[in-house]
Amino acid sequence: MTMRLWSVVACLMVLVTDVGPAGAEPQFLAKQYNRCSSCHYSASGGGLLTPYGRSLSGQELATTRRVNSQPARDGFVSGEEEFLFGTPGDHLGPVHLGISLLPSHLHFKSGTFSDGRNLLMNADIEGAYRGHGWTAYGEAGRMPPLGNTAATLYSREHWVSYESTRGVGIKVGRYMPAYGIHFADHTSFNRADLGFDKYDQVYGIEVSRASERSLLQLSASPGRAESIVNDDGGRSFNTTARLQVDVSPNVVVVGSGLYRDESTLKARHGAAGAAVGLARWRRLTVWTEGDADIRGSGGGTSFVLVNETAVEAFRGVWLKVSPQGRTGTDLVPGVFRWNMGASLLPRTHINLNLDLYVDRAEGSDESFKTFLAQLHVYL
Amino acid sequence: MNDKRNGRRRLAIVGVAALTTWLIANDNSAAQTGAWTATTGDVRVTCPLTVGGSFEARTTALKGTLSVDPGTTALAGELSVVLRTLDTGIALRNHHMLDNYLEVEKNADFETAVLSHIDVGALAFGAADGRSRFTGRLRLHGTTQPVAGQATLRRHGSSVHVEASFPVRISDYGIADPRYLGVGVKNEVTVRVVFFANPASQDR
Repeated sequence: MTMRLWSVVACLMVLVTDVGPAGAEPQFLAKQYNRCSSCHYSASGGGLLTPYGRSLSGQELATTRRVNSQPARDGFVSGEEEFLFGTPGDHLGPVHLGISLLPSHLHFKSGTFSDGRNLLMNADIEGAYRGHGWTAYGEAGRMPPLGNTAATLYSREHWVSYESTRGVGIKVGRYMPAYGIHFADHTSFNRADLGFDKYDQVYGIEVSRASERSLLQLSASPGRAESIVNDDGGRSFNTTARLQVDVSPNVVVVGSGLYRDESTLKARHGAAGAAVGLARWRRLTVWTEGDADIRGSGGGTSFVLVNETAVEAFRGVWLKVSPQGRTGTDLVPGVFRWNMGASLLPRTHINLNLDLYVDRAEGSDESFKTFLAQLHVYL
Repeated sequence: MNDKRNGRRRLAIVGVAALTTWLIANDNSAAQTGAWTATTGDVRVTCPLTVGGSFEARTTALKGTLSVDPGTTALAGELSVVLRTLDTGIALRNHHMLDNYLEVEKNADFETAVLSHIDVGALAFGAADGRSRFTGRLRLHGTTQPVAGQATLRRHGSSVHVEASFPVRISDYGIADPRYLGVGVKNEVTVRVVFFANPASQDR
């Protein structure tokens, strides 16, 4: 297989029909939000927004701001930011719901080869109950067709957690293990290449310790959830650890490690990495993460470097540039990527993301270009 | 003749020495007993969140004049901050902090935070650099409470660089528990103040 063809295939495997949950937005470090848990039920970010997160999206982050003057029940947002614009009223009781739709347009080109398609990336319903330190969380949605596999109904995450008043927590269920920076783009090299892509949730247990200045998350699992459910031979013990230290509300340092035992499909491997988040100016956030991806059985070691620099050009308009690279091994060539994008939040519930990816494999003269437009409707 | 010249020379030397001593003593006492004006202030209040992490409310609107009383470690005068200048980085959080909790519109007394009756211990006696515990009284939200923390002084020419921090328990000042849609600020926040103190005569 020629290098060019290999790079095309590799990029297609990553991007084509790629769908993923609405991820976290670590760019909000510029707003002094150094923890995902301020706005999301999951401490790792992404998924259902808390009432606080919903309120923020409408009253502070969106370009057109609506000041919410309506009184709300304690712990519930009201008005336009509510689930389905408040249509259910009080009928949901203490349960919070969200619907996430992600219609997208994808166009890619490499040399004379080009193609494009429209697809519905996400169609999920998310729900959570939180009280007395307990959180029950679940998502259900449509897994798009992949290859010859038809679209199916599936649940990406479902878990129960408890966190004490001292910040000690435990979570059991299906979830994405905490590692590095959980960028919204699941194809980021520190996610997809390290096994934290859209279908890489695990069934496991996570213990955590949150304090004012740090967050420690330790996870152990008998294997990847899809491998357990489908018995595809990819099941193996894995464990991750992530420690975040908030040097200040605008400066964060993260250290991570993971180990995955060998399976029928993959050799034993592990990774270790460090990341720094800087937001010394109100509108600029810079995240940089470096990881060593160590593969057993002679698979070699790759080094991954991801930078994401995001600037809020105007309220609700974020511009992003993300250079990323992965060094090659004897078996796999290295890849370098430029990702340039814009994220527009004109109003609560509506988020438009535009991204251009330019990937070049080591030894290849040609680039693989992908344009992705996503309209995230979050109800 | 030589005796007279030598005598005048000795008198001149003594006179110069006396004058020099007097000038040095007056300069020291001016520094020790004169007024110092706070400039180039930076105030940061670190607010830990109940969901983990924290944010800072920041302002540079620090002003005040302090004087050293000879023979005591107490500083006369006060430092004040106009609370409406505090900025948390987002408008919604500013609005809640200033209007719902600090209630700066309630009356004039709620508009500022004032630190007075500052006692910096041995640092008041003109030590060039040093770190010491300090005490004071903080008036906030219409209530005055004693505070204590750590202060570091470093001399820069004729100015003194001051860095101080102290904890504040919100509930001690009658401020309601800050909480919005499940996200709250913990009861104890940390105030950090950095400024240059210049001799008041230098500012004229």
